[in-house]
Amino acid sequence: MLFNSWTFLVFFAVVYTVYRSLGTRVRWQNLLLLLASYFFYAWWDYRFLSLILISTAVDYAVSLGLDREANSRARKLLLWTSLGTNLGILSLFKYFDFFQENLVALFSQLGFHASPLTLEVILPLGISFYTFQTLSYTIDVYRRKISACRNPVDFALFVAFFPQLVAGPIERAATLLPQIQKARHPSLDQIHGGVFLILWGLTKKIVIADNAALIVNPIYNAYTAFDGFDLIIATLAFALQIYGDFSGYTDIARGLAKLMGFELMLNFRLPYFATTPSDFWRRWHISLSSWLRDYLYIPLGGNRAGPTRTLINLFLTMLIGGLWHGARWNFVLWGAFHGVILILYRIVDQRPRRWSLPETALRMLIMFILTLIGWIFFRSESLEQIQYLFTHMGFTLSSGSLGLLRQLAGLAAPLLVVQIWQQRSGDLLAPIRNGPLTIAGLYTVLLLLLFLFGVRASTEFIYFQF
Amino acid sequence: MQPPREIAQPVRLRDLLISLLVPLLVVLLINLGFAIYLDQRPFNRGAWLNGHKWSLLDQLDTPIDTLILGDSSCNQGVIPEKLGRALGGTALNLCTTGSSLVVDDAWMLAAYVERFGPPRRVVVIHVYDVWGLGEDSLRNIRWTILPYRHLWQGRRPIIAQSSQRFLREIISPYLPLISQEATVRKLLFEPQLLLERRDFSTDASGFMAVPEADAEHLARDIAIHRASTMNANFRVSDINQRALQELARIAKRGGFPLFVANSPIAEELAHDQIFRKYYDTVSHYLDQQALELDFERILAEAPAFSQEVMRNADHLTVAGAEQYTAELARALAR
Repeated sequence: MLFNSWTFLVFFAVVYTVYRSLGTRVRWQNLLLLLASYFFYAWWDYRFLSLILISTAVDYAVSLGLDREANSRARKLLLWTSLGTNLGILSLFKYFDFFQENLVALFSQLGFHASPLTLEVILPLGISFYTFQTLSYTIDVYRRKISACRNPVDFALFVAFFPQLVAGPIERAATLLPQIQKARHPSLDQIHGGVFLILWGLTKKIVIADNAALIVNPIYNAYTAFDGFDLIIATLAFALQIYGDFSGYTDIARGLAKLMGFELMLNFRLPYFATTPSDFWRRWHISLSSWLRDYLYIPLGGNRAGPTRTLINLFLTMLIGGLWHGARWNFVLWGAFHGVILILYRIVDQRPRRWSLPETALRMLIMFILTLIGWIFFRSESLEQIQYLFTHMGFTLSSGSLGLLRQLAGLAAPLLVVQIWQQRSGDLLAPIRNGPLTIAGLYTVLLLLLFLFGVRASTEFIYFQF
Repeated sequence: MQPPREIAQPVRLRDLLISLLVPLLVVLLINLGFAIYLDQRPFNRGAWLNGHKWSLLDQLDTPIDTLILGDSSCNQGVIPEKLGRALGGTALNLCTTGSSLVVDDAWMLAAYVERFGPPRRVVVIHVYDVWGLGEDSLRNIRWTILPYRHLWQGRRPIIAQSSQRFLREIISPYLPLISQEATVRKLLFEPQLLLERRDFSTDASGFMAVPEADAEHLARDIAIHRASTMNANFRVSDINQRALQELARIAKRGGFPLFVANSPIAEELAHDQIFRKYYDTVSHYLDQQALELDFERILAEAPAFSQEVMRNADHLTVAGAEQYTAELARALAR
């Protein structure tokens, strides 16, 4: 069930009506949300609901044990049970075929013959998101940062809360669980912000991202038929597409949660205005980058073990971050690329961060170009494609280039206007810090954009595949 | 430069309601305005044609000898008066658009037979590429036919209807922002068109006369036909197959002959080897269906016309229509 479908509209209208009619009876509300979340997930494929149930049951039991147990060896064993189960499921469904195929290829290079055993299973929707979310919970209980949740419905809802189940944000138990456990009263400003986020998120997805995809897909899917500036335009369009798609999803998820009285974490803070790679990762998919920082980079030693080790830790973290996106070499290369630029900036760019406006603009431009280079790795489907794109990109125009550029500018314009507004005011909700009639005007424009320029076929969100 | 934050600020209920209800009201009003405007002043020729031909059928008070059904190539390619004179009796051109598919022919024939009983003969004419079009092609114009002409009157649906689709089709005439968004978009970006009156018309027997040839359009269209058939394999769509069976069934039950003819085609295309490969497959399919379903094939060889009498690759000027109608009359008289 996609957020941008009529089916979801009906689903949410029903769930929301019942939810609000339950008033402050939080236990019943949570049960309703849990059932709705399972229904939401099962709509895609009910069989994979069992994986969520396994993760939930194991982590619920493990966390109770961790809370009770004082013996450190027993606690470690419990933690490894959770890690083993969750990462085992994730590896089996997401990475088994990839590692198997690559090992077989490596063996045959070395002269050994091994027959491949690929499972060819479908990737369960959102598996990387809910696995990381539930892992962070168990690790936090192990570290005694939080205590275990005793109510199985509350915990199951924390794992499966439908607005963020399949594409994040990857929530932390310390912030989401308390909201689940206490009575919720959606305030007027939450509803106000929620409506804006839903409308703006839908616009980013249906109007900007889905239309940008119409530029990207024909070129990236038949890349050898294109060269020169068309390849640059397609990559720029992909930057729009992936940002509009993913941040649009997050906005809708956060908006829906706000309507129900929940606050989900910020996942995007205008990433294309970043001036350095570390700034980019403070703005892009924040829930993943902070997860990787807290549960991977810092446990690896972070920056406490000397400069060389810090750089190695950074690189490893980004590499695994790349692999999190999918079992393909292009994602590994994308992660590695970001690791390398993080390291280079750390070594070379030691100046204090007080830049003049032109210098800030120049840094932003350079970072944007680096981000685009990263997107080439990310969007490509093979190493041959990456090689072709890097060697055939240029500024030669084709007969269709200007038309494509016009389309791209038309799509980028509303995004740019709103984002400059948000950046200058320092407030992501700046567009609704106005009089009611101005906001009404803005909403009218957004609704008309959705009706008249939205791509009608409900297309999946890109991050569902991760 | 610091990344922005999300700063929550209190809002009054009155302000919240204004910011939510005003846009809904404005959008509803814009929608209503376009619904009324488009109902009064048709902008899309295809949508107008569908409605117009159904109203010709509705207003008919005497039986017709020869009913002509099909797409826009036949709408401006067959002159009923001339055909009636040649065959003796009356004729009516009920041809609409290609995207109404063969299914609209079946509904029209069923509607006619219900009121007047069997006609003397029925001719169905479609451009070769209509036979492969699926239900999706029907989507955009379906609302002009279905809610009023078909579903309310309980005729056999032929197309599969999910309840969601059914609901959408019923409400879509009232929601032009959703059902006719391309037209609305065009009118919003070129508001001068709002004042322009588009006068579409046919004669009393349903023939749409187009006087002038258009060489440029023809050349462009020929290139498109060539490109789209070059590596394509023909497969009749499910919905057209079912509609053709329905036509044959009605004809058999009524005991009148059903003729299926090829539409006019540009000479240049008719002589193009690669194009003909695809075209002949379609013709062959119709020949086979004629044997299986017991109808008659006429003008099965590509009826080719020179560029002087063509608007595009399969639409004729009046002069071309005179020639095609004469050929059709000869074939029917045989």
